[in-house]
Amino acid sequence: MSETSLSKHDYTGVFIGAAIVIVLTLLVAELDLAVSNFFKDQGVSKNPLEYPLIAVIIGLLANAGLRIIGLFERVRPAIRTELFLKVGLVLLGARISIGDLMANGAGGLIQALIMVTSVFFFTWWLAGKFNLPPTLKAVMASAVSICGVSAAIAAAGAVIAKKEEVTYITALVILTAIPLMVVTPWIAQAIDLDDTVAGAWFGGNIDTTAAVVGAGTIHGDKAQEIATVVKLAQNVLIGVVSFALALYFALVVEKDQGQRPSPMMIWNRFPKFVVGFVLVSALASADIFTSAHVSEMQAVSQWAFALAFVCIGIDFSPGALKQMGRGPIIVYIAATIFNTILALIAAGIIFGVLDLGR
Amino acid sequence: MAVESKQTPQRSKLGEDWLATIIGLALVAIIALGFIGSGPQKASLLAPAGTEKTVEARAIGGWSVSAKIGGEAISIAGLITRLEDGMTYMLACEDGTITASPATAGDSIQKGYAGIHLVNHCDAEVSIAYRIDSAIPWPIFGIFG
Repeated sequence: MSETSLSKHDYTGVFIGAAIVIVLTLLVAELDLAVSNFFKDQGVSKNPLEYPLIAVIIGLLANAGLRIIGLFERVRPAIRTELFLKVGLVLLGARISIGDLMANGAGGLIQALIMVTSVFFFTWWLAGKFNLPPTLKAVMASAVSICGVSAAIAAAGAVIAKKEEVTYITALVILTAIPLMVVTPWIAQAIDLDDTVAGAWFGGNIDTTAAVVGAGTIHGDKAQEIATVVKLAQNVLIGVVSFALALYFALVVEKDQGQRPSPMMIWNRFPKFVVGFVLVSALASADIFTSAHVSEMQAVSQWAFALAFVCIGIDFSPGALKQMGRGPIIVYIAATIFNTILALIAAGIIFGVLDLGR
Repeated sequence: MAVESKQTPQRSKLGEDWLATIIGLALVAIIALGFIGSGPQKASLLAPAGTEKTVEARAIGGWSVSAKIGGEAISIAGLITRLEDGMTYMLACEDGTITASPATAGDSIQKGYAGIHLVNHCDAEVSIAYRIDSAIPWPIFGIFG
């Protein structure tokens, strides 16, 4: 997206875009403080409008403004949601001990295997009933079952999907993830869900990692930690699913085209930032950092997440949804509902009844 | 399926993952090596009337100090905001005022830290807080605060 060759003209767009994202993020920080103080004055200790929601709203407003003044496409290369998010996740590793990572990661991996398999095949089956093209089925099933945009891009590469299909799924991912980011913490609180189970639910249910972190942040620190670890356990399956998809398309769907995927694809698709996350977590567990340094890293991580949330709002493309018709939207929403219910059951059993997390 | 409408995003995806990892680890290194300061610090003392308290704080500069006698904020005369390694800083409350004395070499203070010793001869409880804020505060300008 942003690493294609850029002309001088494009660099100006990137610079303007980066400046806009930074200024909006500063605005988010200021508004977050003001909103928090407002609720404190009203006797509400916990701010119900946490910064992820404020950031997404600011981003959506900027999105509309940029489209109106015709700058949207020009600044888009600077809208690096995934990059900011991954930087934030690497830093978040300092807050999560390697012991917790192993314990929650094991539970998260079991949940991920159940969720990815069930949701992927449910979406694939339902998309088949609506006669969606195989490439769109693959991209959609990967997005809804693994981790949204990243998985959609990886699957698109594996099955050689159309660019419009990825754009379309990206819009659907954002469209469903933003409400889920706000609603699921509210539901978790309403049904008095344990922090660990709530975190595992967000991690297993919400498609895009940024919204998972956002939901966890809105619910609380513990939920954010668990949600992140569970989502990362799900993220590491991108490579395996991409490889399986490439193999299926090479052997079954497009068997005459002579392309053969290599097992290296599993490593190529592996989310490398997880290595950084685990490394930082291991260093923190070995007491390399002082508590003051961990606190500083948390602050930087929060800034990176705020940048990512602003970018989510800016990057939303409602126009892409009009092009594909109702069928894919119905399939995606049905798959999301299935994902949400199944994730709640799986999180309740794995992290609640079996207590595989901490 | 038109070839020109297809995409192969593998290369850019890989680049972004490694780029995020490198930036993240670089930020961790910058913070851990102290290039952007010591990180947020706090050391506080609470001495009821007629008692003494000691606390250790990082031997660094840039401390901001607040003091209260019986809940009333008060300034400290002769306060030092740069703490030296292994030194002890004496603070005394007498007749409703808090005064800082010159530092003396401290005993059994862990390396990299300084001691802060408070003697409270006043009639009310004395609280003193040494604080260094985060180098990267969440709100920066405080325009809406």
